[in-house]
Amino acid sequence: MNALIIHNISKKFNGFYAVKDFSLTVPQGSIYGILGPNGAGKTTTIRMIMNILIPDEGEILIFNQKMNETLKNKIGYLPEERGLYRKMKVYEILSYFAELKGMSRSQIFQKIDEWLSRIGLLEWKNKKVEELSKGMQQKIQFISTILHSPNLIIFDEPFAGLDPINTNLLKDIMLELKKQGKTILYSTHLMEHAEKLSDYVALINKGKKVLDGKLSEIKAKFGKNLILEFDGDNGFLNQIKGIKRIYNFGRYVEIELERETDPQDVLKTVINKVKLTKFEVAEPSLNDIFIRIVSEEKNETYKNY
Amino acid sequence: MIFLSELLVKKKMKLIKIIKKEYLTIVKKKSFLISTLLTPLIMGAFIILPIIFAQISPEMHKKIAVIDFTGEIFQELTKNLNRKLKTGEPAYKLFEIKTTENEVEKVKESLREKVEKKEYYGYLILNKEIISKREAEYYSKNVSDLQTIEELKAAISDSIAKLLLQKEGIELEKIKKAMKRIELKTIKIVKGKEKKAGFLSEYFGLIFLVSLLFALILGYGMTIMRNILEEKNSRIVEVLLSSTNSFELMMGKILGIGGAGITQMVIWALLIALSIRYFSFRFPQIEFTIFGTNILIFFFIFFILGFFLFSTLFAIIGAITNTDYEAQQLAAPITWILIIPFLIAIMTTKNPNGIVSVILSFIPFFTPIVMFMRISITPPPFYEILASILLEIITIIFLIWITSKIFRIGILMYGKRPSFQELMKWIKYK
Repeated sequence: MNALIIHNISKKFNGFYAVKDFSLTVPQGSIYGILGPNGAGKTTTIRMIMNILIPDEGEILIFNQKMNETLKNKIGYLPEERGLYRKMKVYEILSYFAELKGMSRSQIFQKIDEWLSRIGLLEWKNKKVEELSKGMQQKIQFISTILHSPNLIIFDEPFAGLDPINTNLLKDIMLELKKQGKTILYSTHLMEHAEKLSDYVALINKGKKVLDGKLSEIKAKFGKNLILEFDGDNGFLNQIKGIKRIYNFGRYVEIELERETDPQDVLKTVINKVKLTKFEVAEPSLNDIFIRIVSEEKNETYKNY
Repeated sequence: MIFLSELLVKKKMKLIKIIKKEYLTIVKKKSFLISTLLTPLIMGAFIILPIIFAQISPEMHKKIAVIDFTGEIFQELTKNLNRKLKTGEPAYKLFEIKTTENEVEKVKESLREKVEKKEYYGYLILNKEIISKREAEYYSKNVSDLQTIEELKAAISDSIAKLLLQKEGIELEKIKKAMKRIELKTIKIVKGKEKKAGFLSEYFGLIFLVSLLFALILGYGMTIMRNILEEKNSRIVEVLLSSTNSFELMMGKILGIGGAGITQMVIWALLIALSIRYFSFRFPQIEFTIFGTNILIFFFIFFILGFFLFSTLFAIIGAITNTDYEAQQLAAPITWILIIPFLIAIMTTKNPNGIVSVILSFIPFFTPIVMFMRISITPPPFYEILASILLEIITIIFLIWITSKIFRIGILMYGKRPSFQELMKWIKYK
């Protein structure tokens, strides 16, 4: 069962494609990351999912329905641009947002207390929003998104502007929600956020999806990376067999191996040529993968041999 | 069917939540409390107090010394100068000062001192030639007290007349009866009913009510504008739209904020009714019914109509602008539309059925104020009132439709303000 299916949506602004021919399938109970640099079209995509923007082409189905008023109660949405009523008290604003999601008042107050203590802001319950720090406001807005326990939760850049501790807190909450069977779609421009959190990722660049799928499969597909640091001439690099690509930074080299190549063989070849100071077999980071794909499109500027 | 009605209830529930939140946000504000309590106070200060002061300024009896060289007039004068104060006391107390013509200057000097010390209000000298010359002298610190002067004049004249007529053997009372002038009372006819009122007090009462109507429509309209702008700038609007739709959001705001306005007026009406009861109990001799009940009902109706009409315009401005400054700029023409009726107010009061007033009262943007003016001066035929109200309602429905189209797109647009052509395009979108 899929929580969200996007079929070939496109959106043009002033003749320029913000999102082009974008498709996505988000399985229920998964955490799906939409990754890409600033201006890639992440927020536009999310706004189209939320029906705030209407796609020029294509179709979006949430739990097999087009967006409608009843569906809205099952969705939680944290927009990229944050904002709360400055003059309202924390619990007032939380209960207002929850009531608008069709939650009954009797449930709301218990939930507010639960979540406020979870994020460590229970004693701020009766304070006005304007008295809170920016980070606190952001956490309040985060829980306002999930208070009504929606089945599909959409976070646009949930970690933007948060310190590492709070980032981890939110990640933990997201993982808990997943355990409860909720589906989470989120966007970020910082790839490292997605590494341990996401079951699935889609990488988008300049309005187009460049890659999507299960994170583990993507990583497997991109094989292992070798990282070498050494003293001496790097001419030996041409003699290594079974290599897909080399990112050459002088005395520091990242090597992308063919899937069947054994790093052990490479070590044997290299060890006689130069004095190694570092030899590491690593999974490629999402960052590497993204840069690789993007640079392939840009005529492989990083490839330097 | 059941599912559908359930859906309808759920949808309505959200609208009610929005109305409730917008309503409470305003009603809980300190400024709301202050303006709700302060306005009737100011109104009282402007309307009720002058009436009270004018009618019950404590009037004291006036002591007047009289030097009567004729020796006859004083007696008559005390009888003729017999007006009573509200307390039942006589308004004037006369004291005869006996003197001779040689000593008169001395006496006058001591009287001057006594007037200065306020022992006497003034003194009167009736010379021997008074009957032939018809001249008397009155000395007082306050010679612009026209009432006293007129009353003295009349009383002295009457006394002389009586003396002269007595000598001829004719009774003054008979002549007075025969010569009595009639008094012309001015009574205004309103809807076939009679109503006592002066032009001035009516004019000020009307201008006050119309200004209040203007201030309320403008004030609550501006509140909607700023409210939308706040949600737009703080980007709360996206969260709200993920829970509800733009039409519900807009209507929730208009109804919630309008509701706060109605609440304020109901409180005012109650306060006014209570204070009128109180004051008419305390001062039964004063008539406090300045505005008729129908006038107040029409005030209510035209506030609601005017508010709905202009709130849509203010909602558009809030939705298409990004800063307070920009919004104020666009709001200025609306303020002018509301001010125009004031420019013709004097004309309307003098001739409420003049062609300009009649035409303006049927143009929906002017109807609330101009029609209200006309009604409160000389009610036009009922069908005219009804027609203007219907026209107003149709315009409101049309404007709400247009506004919802613009609002839906505008609240999510940041940056450059859309041009008029772009707005037209938005209205044409599905």
